[in-house]
Amino acid sequence: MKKALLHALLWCVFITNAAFANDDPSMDPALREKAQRAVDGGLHYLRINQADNGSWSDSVGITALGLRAFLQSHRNYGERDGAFITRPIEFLLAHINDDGSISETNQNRNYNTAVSLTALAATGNDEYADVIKDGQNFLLKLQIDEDDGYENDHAYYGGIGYGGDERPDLSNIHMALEGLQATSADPDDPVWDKALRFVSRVQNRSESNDQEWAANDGGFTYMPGYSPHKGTASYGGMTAAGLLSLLFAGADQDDPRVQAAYDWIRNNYTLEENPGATDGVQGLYYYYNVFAKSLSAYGGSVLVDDEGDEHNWRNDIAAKLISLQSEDGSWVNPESPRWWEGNPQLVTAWSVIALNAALN
Amino acid sequence: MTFHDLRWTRRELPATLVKLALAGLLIAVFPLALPVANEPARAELLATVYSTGAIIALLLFAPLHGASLRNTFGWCAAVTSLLLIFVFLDPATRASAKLTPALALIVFLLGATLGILARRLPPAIVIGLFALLALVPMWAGPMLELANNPVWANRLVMYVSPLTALATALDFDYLRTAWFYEYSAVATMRYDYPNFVNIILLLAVLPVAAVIRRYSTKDSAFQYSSEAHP
Repeated sequence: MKKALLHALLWCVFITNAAFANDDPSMDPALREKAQRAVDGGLHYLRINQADNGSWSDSVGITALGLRAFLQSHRNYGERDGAFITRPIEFLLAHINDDGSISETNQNRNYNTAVSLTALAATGNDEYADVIKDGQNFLLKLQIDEDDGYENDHAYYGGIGYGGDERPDLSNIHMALEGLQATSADPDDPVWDKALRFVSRVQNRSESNDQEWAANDGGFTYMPGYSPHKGTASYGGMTAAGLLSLLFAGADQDDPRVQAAYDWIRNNYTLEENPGATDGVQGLYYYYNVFAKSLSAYGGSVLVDDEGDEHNWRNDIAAKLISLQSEDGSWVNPESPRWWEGNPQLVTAWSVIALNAALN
Repeated sequence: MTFHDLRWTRRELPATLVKLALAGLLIAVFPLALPVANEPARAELLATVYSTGAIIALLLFAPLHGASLRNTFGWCAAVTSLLLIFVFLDPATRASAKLTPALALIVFLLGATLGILARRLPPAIVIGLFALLALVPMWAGPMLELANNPVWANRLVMYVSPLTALATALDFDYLRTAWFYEYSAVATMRYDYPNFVNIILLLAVLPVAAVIRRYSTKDSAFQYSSEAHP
């Protein structure tokens, strides 16, 4: 009997160890400590630069990202921790519009609403259920489909733009899908299938992309037929966003589109630049952010590039961001202000979220 | 309207009608010059294109140089009316008809401001100025980027562009349309559209000042007749 109990106990220990081993994000322990300190530094910067109204940069989008950075950090901050968490939430709630969007401006309503939903979901507070539901409905209505006069053979079908009926793009839809996924939107809603249709049309993979311009490197461009960096070339930020979008929309690791995107990231692996972007510096921190989130969603820690070299992305992104952090704890892109990367509050929030993804 | 003005109008009626027809033609064909078919916000984009065509038609065909203030405003009203006809006739823009009062007001004031300038300056210079300001998001974009997009400079860019004024009336983010997003760095940076009331006030400055000056000083320079300036 004692022997059987001991056996059972040993099995329990083994299984527990195995479970922990699987959950181990495989970041080097010494680096993990430094990464956590970098997160603390970033959060400290955000905290002392928070406006009296609880916002960062008077922007719903940046405030939601800053809030998310706190809520998903290793400190496990929550509303119980005080005004530095509750005031940004109040700022978001103060900008709810009649159509369900959460935004201080008519521009960027998709981005703002999507990141607000993600942040409100991260609070885990059921009181925001109605706000989240309304926000979800707003995002769903943004999707371009038959109701807008577009059939599913159109390049824009299933896409989502900035929120003012503009052309859709991969960056906007990836944020929208992230917001919907974070708030547990109905998995049977047609939004996912339509999104898959659009996302496939932004991938340079002619087997699954019916657009004439589609190449075959598996990476993603910004919108059907256009990249801000040149032609329709794939680049790092959008390929990571494309991978994340495919996974959110229900494609699994065995899906050839997912595999092609993952292969592009493996074969163009670098954190020295945003691969494929102009001068490598435009949208650099956007790339870091979505790179970490997409590989975290994909799972695993080590990628092997086409030359057989192994890369532990968690170690690499942590080391890179630590090396780029300013003394005051912030990050900023000094090379290019495009996509708001001249704003240290936004870039710090993005960097902390990337570190959180690498650490968790 | 004075007897003198009426006589001038009657004599010039055939030529005026021809110019109005040409203005209408230009407004009608203007969308053909710009790719709008694939834009989801087609109604707003088309209305912006029609409006731009209306302003250019005003500067090209209206006899503004040396014209009386009344005549200048009359032409602005005529071209604005033409614009409204096209916006209502085109099924693609009819959907945004609820916004046309705001659009008409902006086009009238914008036309009046440029028209008043054209009374003193050669039309080519005013058209050039209009084009320069309309395209300010394109040529100022790299400078904003280089200077890390200072708030004051960004606001200046947004305020001086006539396209921004039109877009404000239509609640339309034209900088995020495919073409502008491709060619204007401003679209990739943080910006906000001016308040509609501020735009109205800004555009009303020159027309109101001209009217006040006309009726307060009775300055003969504002009462040109066709005989003095055929």
